[in-house]
Amino acid sequence: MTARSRVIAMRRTITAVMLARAVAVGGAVIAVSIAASRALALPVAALVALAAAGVGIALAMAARARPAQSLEQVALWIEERHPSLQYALVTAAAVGMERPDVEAQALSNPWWDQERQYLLRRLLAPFVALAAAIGLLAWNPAFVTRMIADNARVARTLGTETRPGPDPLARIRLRIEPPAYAGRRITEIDDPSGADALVGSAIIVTGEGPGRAVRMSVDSTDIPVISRGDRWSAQLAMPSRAALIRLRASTSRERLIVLAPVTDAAPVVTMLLPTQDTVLRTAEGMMTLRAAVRDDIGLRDAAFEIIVSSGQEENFTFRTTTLARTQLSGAAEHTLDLRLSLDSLALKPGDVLQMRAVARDRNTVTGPGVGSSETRALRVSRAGEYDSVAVDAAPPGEPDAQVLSQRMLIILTEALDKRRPRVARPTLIAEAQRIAADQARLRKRVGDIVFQRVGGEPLSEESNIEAPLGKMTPEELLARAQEATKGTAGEVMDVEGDETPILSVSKPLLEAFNAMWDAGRALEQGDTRQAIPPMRRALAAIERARHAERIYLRGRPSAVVVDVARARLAGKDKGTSSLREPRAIVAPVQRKRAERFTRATLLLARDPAAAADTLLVMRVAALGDAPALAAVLDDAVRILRRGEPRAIVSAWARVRRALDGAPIARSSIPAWSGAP
Amino acid sequence: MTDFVFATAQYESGDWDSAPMVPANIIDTIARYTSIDVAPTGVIVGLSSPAMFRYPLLYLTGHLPVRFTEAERTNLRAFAERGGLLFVDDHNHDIDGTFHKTATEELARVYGPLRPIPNTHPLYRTFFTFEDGPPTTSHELNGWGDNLVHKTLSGVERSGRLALVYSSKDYSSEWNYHPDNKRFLSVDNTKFAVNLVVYALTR
Repeated sequence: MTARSRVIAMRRTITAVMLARAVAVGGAVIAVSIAASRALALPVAALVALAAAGVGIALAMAARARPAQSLEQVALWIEERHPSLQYALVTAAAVGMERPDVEAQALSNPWWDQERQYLLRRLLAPFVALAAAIGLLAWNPAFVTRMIADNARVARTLGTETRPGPDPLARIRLRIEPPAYAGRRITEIDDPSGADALVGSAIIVTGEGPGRAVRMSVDSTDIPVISRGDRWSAQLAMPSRAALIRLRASTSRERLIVLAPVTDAAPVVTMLLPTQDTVLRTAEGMMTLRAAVRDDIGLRDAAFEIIVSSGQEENFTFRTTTLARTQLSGAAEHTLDLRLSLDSLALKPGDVLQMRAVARDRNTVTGPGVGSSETRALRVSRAGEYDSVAVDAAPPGEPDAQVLSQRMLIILTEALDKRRPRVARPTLIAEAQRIAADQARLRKRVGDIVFQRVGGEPLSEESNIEAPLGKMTPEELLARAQEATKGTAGEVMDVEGDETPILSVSKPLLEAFNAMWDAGRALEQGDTRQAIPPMRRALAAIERARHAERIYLRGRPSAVVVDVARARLAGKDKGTSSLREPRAIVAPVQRKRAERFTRATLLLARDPAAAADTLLVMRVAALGDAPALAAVLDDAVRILRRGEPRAIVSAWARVRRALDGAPIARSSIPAWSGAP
Repeated sequence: MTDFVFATAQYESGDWDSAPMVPANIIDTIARYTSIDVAPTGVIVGLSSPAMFRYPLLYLTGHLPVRFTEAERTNLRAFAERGGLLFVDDHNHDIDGTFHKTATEELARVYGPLRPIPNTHPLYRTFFTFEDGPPTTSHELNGWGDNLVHKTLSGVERSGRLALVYSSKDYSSEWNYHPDNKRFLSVDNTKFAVNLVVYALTR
């Protein structure tokens, strides 16, 4: 092989190596550009510029291979690296210079092997760089692919995406139009991070620039963006669940806006009258029903619903009706009244009348919201139940009234007793007799209550009364009642034990009745000092009656004691406990939130906007089940956007506290604590 | 370990005690087929009382309209969150009846919407196997009440377990007899109660 042919071969090798280096370096630059654009969320224009730079570098490096096209240049390059050749190679490579001595000198040193190895070593670094860049890309190719696809889509949307212009997401304005039924004002928010509005409100997002420059989506649904003059605009309805608006434009980073729906609460209905369930012996006369209704926005109508249940055991019939429906035309509060004629319902013994108030609001978007009150029941007792059913003629308003009056009488008596040394005897007696008259009136009222409760049935458990009380006058009954409690005044009378419900509730009232009798007698004689102790006993007895246990109106079921030992495993059929199936692992929401918050904290220093976006995404997720966390996240985003370092620290601490929950205080170390 | 105590739920409205023999019958059934330590008598526990949290299974029935008080609703919500199972049975066996309408409305307010329990649910395999889902009752087959044979029970799950089982099949009538009379039956119709108890104790 001649020296010239070796130089020609070396020229091919040099050209190939230089082109390969150019390709490797250019490819590495392009791969790193894509990776950087992914990490920094660079716009597509920046990505194109970086990629172009990579191509330029590759071309520049390839251009450096042009001198290698000259054999003389190649020979000189070799001579420079091998001075011992003394330009014999340059001479031999020249056309027509075929001299044996020159040829021998040009080939005296095996330079071609050394140079080939040197050139191959020069390829190592560029290809290592290329491999590293490709590895960087391959790290998350799906993400990169999606990002490239997204960017390409945005670029297609833009058409002339590289044309510089104003940032369409720089001045965003949010207009909230509440639904018509709410009657609330329209609000506008500049540069919003979130919008709190009633479900169904119209949310209009606007900004500067043409509509084709912006892409908007809510969760995964695209929202059409239109142009209006020199502004873009998009409209949607406030969804019923928290959602995230994503706004994208080629010239700026993504913007997020949280949609926090405010739910129209159902009306709150409170039954004022009757105040509690009642049992009547006969359902006659008029009954007042009263209910208070209110709503956070506006009421549409309200009414009373009644159900009459008749029958027993397996046979029941029901009558349902609505009464006193009232149109409220958006009022926030109302009191509903109804005078209900019990006679018109023709209630029979055993019938149950259930009453409740129902109200609807004006919500025409997700409603109407319906609220209902507690249900009150009025029951007509059966004849056979009179000895086992507590018949409360009315809610405990009357005993309450007695207590107040009795207290007043005690105060009057004590005042009179204090003045006693200074007033004349006739005056003392006159004033004491006036108090005695009031005391007698109260005693009569207490007697009436007892009379209504025992209602003509003999008090066989507590007295030896034999005559049916229903044929007696109230006065006679009171005399019998007084007889019934003889010897028990002043003793502690509890309402527990095996007494019948009638006796349990009536006994303290009978004691009060007797004590009032004693007090009245002393007052008639002007002996205020003697009157005060029985008056106090009467008051205490009425207090006990007030605190008497509520008596349930149903009989107790018969108690059957099962002989477990005899029945044990006597069954013919055999079963086996099946293995418990493992439950699905519940997603640890708390842990995920903490991880996301940690990511936001890491982003805070180098990219506050990205940290704010992370918090906004957290807020959307928290709006459903952690409203307190959502509120502090909203604060943190606002502060972050204002850029107040001190406030950010405290806002971050509030978010962390909300994530961790309230501290738990224990009075002592638990018994199972691992502490020694 | 304490004995299992069968608890009947007492609520303010309606006739909560319309099936007084059911507790004794179920207690007998538990003893008859399982080795679960069971108290010989049941208890009655008010839904507004915190005492209800002592019992893993509550039985609620009645004919009359059901309107829970706010305290009862609050307690039932907590009961479900703490892992309790409420078994509600319509003693009217009538989906047009007022118990069904009012009880399902109230239960939906407390638990959320009721959904049919698939007949392949573990409830039907926890002890005895009921291939066709809930066993039918004689009241259904005789065409009483709503004249329907209900194919499924309804319920609500919390954290992968049933927190509420609602029946329109009238097990309250079916099981409301003295346990001594069980010997007259060729097939014990209370076996499904064992599944309810075992499910409540193990899930």
